[in-house]
Amino acid sequence: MSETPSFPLTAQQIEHAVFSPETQQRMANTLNLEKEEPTINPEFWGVPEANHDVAPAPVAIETPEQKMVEQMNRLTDAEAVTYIRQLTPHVKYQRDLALAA
Amino acid sequence: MPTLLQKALALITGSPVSNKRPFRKMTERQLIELESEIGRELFGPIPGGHRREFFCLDESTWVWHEEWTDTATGRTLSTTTRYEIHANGILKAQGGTAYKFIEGEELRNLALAVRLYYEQVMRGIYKIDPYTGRPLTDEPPATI
Repeated sequence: MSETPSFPLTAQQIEHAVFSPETQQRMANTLNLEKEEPTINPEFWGVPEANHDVAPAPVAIETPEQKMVEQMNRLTDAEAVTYIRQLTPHVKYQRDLALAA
Repeated sequence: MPTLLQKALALITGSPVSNKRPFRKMTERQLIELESEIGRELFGPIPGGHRREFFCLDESTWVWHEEWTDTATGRTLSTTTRYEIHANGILKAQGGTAYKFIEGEELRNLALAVRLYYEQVMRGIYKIDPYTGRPLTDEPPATI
């Protein structure tokens, strides 16, 4: 993973970089879920995974914010540092862009 | 001064033409203050008599400032914390004397704050979708 982000870098790219297949595997293990594909878990963004075979079981209502907090709380220290390091220049970049517009 | 076209559009639509360059006359400091209005709300209600600021200073620094009045002495007290992004971690500098690399819950809390700040500032101030980087439109998001 590159330490220096090249701009413009979208938040999606950051997510792909930070939530690597290894991270996803670890998260799946933590949740005791069966690992399927080494992809970003769509539930991370509150998007339900489509299942056309079985009606989904009722679940407790969770706000996207609650889910996000839970996901963020599972980050290791190294992942949290990477996350902050990659996202922070984005804010400055967008601010500079707005000033230059 | 509005152009003839802008005047005509205002007459037709009933509203002035939107300013597509709203930040043109703003300084970086003013933009940071705008961002901090969102940043200060991320940590819940601010206690009465407190002033809080939380903002991204530059590409490697976050600032958290808290100011309040000591009820016993009536003096204004404040604390400023800088979170500096270094190659080997996030260094917390408080009051110019205490330095330490943060870890565990504090680090994750900062990561969450950074994420919420990013998402809300991109949407609320810069009108950018934080996930795609594209300008937000007035159209509602697609649903199933």
